[in-house]
Amino acid sequence: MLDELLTDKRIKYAFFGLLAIAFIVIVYIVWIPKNNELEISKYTAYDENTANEALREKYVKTITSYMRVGNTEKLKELLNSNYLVENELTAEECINALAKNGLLSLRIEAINPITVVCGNNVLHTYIVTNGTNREKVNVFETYPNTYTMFFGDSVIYQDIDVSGVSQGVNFEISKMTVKNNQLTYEVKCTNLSSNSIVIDTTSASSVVVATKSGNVYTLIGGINSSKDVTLSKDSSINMTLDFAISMSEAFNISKLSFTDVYVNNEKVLAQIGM
Amino acid sequence: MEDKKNNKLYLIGLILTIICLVLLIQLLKKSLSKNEIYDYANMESIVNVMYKGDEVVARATYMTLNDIISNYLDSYIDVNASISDGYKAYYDVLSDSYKDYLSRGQYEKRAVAFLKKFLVGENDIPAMNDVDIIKSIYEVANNEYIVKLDSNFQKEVAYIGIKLKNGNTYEITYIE
Repeated sequence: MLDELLTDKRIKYAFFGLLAIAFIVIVYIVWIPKNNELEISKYTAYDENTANEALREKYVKTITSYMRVGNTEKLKELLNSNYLVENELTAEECINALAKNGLLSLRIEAINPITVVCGNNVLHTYIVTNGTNREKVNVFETYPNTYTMFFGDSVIYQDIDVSGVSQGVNFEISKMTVKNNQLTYEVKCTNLSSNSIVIDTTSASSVVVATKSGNVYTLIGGINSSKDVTLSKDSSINMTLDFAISMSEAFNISKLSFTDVYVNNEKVLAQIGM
Repeated sequence: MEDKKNNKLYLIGLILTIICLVLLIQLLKKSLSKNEIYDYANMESIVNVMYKGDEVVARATYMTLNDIISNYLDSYIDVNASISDGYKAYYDVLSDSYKDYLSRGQYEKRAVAFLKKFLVGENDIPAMNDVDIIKSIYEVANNEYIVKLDSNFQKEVAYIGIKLKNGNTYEITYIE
């Protein structure tokens, strides 16, 4: 009788023991992701620096290869149109200048690469040289593999279309120019109300821009338009507003504020989002 | 005699319990890993899912996804410049939900249709166009992306869904 009970108990222990082992094995087989073991499921992660570096290398390689073989058509396609307009140049003239300086040559090398992140854009600069002459090349990338190039100083001209109404005034920003430590906006202000409105820009803090991270920048020099401006109904004024701001910050502006605006002699704040 | 009968009953009980366990655990795993972003069976258009996400401009994400996609496309051509079945191995890289929806055979059909969108070649030597093909990237969930690709044929847009996971592994969540 005792023997029988013992045998039964052993079977029971064996049963539950096997069940526990089976449970562990099943969980392991079903749950452990198999593709972690696969080589093809692994990837190399980039960070912003290595990604920008890889893209810059690619652009440099493409542009210098065009310069080495004298592929002028491809070079012309890459030229930044705003750069040509602002400098009153044609693509032909631009490429001819390169050829004249011996910069369409097999001996072209690219040196001193620098990358500046400008909001959602990236500016890569480097020097191309044939050993004797040199030229600064700027590559302005708006999206990976979408870029234009221009030569000389790193000045970015961008047509923008930002507008907003505040305190009865319509502010329209049509163009921005960004160069080393300076941002310039072309702004048209139109009085849409029946009130008499004065926009005073005589002090540095009368117009300020704020970045997404909360940094605030004031006007350079303070006076950038014809002192204070009185606008009657439907009249407008064009202003050129300069701010001392780094290139990387200039593309992160989120707000433009006019702090010295007077509506019927009452001081108000007018601001638009960017 | 009685012992032998008992042993058999225990054995049958053990086998049945193990079968139930397998089914139960698989069911539990499926319900836990269910992808809430894609309802593959009822999905009318990937575009609807895509535009619910945020467009990604981060260069790091772009380059990471670009490498993954290039490797996948290149799996269709072998070192001798012939069509390869290397893409078949990528079935194991599909997400669990996508694998539940697509059998291996269905995946292979779908993968070939997808990969052919990038097939180019002169003089009968096939090659894959995997240069600058990313048109836009949308993050539809944390580290989960839908990438819109430029195919060789203007009218045919291609999409691939990729989820980046911990430990630098990824899974493919969708191809079209």
